[in-house]
Amino acid sequence: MGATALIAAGYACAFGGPRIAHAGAWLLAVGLAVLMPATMALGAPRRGRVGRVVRIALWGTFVALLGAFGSALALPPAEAPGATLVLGLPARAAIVLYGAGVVPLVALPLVYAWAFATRETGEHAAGDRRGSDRS
Amino acid sequence: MTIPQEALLPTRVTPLIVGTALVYFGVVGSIGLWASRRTRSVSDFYVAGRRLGLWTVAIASMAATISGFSFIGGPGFIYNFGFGAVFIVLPLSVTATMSAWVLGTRLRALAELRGVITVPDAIGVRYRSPAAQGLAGVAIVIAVVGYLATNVMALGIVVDGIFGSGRVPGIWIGMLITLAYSAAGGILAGVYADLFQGGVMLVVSSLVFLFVLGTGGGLDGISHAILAADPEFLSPWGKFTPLAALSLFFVFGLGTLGQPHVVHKFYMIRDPRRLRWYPVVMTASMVLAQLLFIGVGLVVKALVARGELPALARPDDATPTFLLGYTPPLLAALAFSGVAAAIMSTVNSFLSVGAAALTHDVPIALGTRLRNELPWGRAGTVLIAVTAAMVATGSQTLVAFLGIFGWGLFASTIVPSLAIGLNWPGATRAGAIASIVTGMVVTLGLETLAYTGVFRFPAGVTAAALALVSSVLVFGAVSHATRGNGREEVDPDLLALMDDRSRDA
Repeated sequence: MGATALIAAGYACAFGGPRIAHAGAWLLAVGLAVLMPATMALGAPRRGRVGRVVRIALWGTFVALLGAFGSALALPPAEAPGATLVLGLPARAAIVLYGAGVVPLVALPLVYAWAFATRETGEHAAGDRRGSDRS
Repeated sequence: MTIPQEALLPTRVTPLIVGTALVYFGVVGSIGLWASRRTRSVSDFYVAGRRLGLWTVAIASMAATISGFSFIGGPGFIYNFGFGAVFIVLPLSVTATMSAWVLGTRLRALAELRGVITVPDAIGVRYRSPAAQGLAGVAIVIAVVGYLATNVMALGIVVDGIFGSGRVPGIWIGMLITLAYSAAGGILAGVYADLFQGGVMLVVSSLVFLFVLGTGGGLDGISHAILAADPEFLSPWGKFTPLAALSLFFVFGLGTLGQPHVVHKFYMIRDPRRLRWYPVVMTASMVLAQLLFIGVGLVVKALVARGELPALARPDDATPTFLLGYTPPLLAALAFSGVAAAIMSTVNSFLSVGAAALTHDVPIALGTRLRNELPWGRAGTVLIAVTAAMVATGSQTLVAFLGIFGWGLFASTIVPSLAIGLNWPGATRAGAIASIVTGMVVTLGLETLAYTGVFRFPAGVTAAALALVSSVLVFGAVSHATRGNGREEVDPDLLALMDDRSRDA
């Protein structure tokens, strides 16, 4: 809810002047960086806790999103004819595409699959323990 | 979200394009015929009997997510607004995993525990509230008719572009083909048609992207050409303000959790353990399918910057111009069928969720339940399809108005009550109902005010975004205010599911 409130405040800033609107963009950037991992964290706990690898992945998502959006907002424009490219794009666009796009895109599905398997293994082990306790 | 929905193809009837399209429609028709023989129950009709594999569910979800916009409107959007338009597809980095974590296992378990078949069904059992279920159903029907009208109109333009039939006959031809397999085979026909259509989209998008790189001289060549002519185009926000670009990320990121035609596919997977690889398959297929979206918009801009192409008269001409000028004729023909595939797969999914809301959820809210829902479901499918086609062939102004609020209405009415509510035991019935009503009122109210010119949003602010923010905040505030009722309003088995104690119980 806090992240959504930040985003709401960001939109409210858009109704002010250009300077306030820029502050609104920062509020949106921070709000989004919190909102996405926080939403995932809603569904990620198993038996009331979030595993360490998942926690690292969610914090990593926060850092990637905030880093990408924040850099794009903070860095001075360097898009010009003949500008140096990073992986085929001007630096700020590259930071956004690869930081907010590619890095979480590669990492999160794999972390999900890993956490899913760990949970299954844990549940089977718990089931085996319950079975041996009954016998 | 005001996004151009029309697919604008040049009226260019060539034997290769017509032949490819005929083969394509023939395959889709055969799938419908096959599925209609296997559809014997309402569960088959709406959730494919819960017997689908991972690949089918993931590819069908991808195909349902991607409409004609990704193939025609999207590249035009990038051509027009620059890199900022990428913020529509940037949330792909998190959406599939987020959906799986927040909704995947819970919806699949609800299907097992309670036999739910629709998204409003899940909302209804979560809060023990037929009213919440009915309101969500009404929101879905409104959004579906609007979305369908724009997609059907785009389909008519594609059919006209391929066969030279004229726009109105094209609308009815495209609609009747989709309706035939949707009404006969329900979602079972839909998902297998989606599997085929999704495959076509993946192949086309990947191959076209290779031609994009070849034509543009790689990403470096494309960027240098654009930077020489229009540096702002490749700034992180393109021609948008930073707020507008970030707003796209918000609406298309969080909003994904509220798209019923996509999330209801979680009900259909046979073995919930297969959900383990859902984010990998879904993310990979979405990325491949969106390569055309990003690539074509950029390369056409680069070709214009180099003087190899004249500036486009309409941004939506980007894809047809590139396909017809820079790819082999067979790939262009396949791509035009791919556009039809993208639209038809989305239309089929909308027909399914719309008919289910109309004949299943709304009657439950009214305190009744239709006997023998299968024929009613087929009748509902026909009713919604014909209504949408009539709207599409009627007032273009009405179509334009209806087309702008579909995504936002889904998101603002379903994200809080379903996605948050299924994971937060403290959410209350009052909070859910208040958020759904807020989503509907704010979306429809603001869109109407904006469309009629009574109110003008500042740059970067959209009705969809404000509605989503408002409904989430109202959901939290009302649930907090009525929190004494939270856990009492949830059945013990669902509470166990939310607390993830079900397997230990």
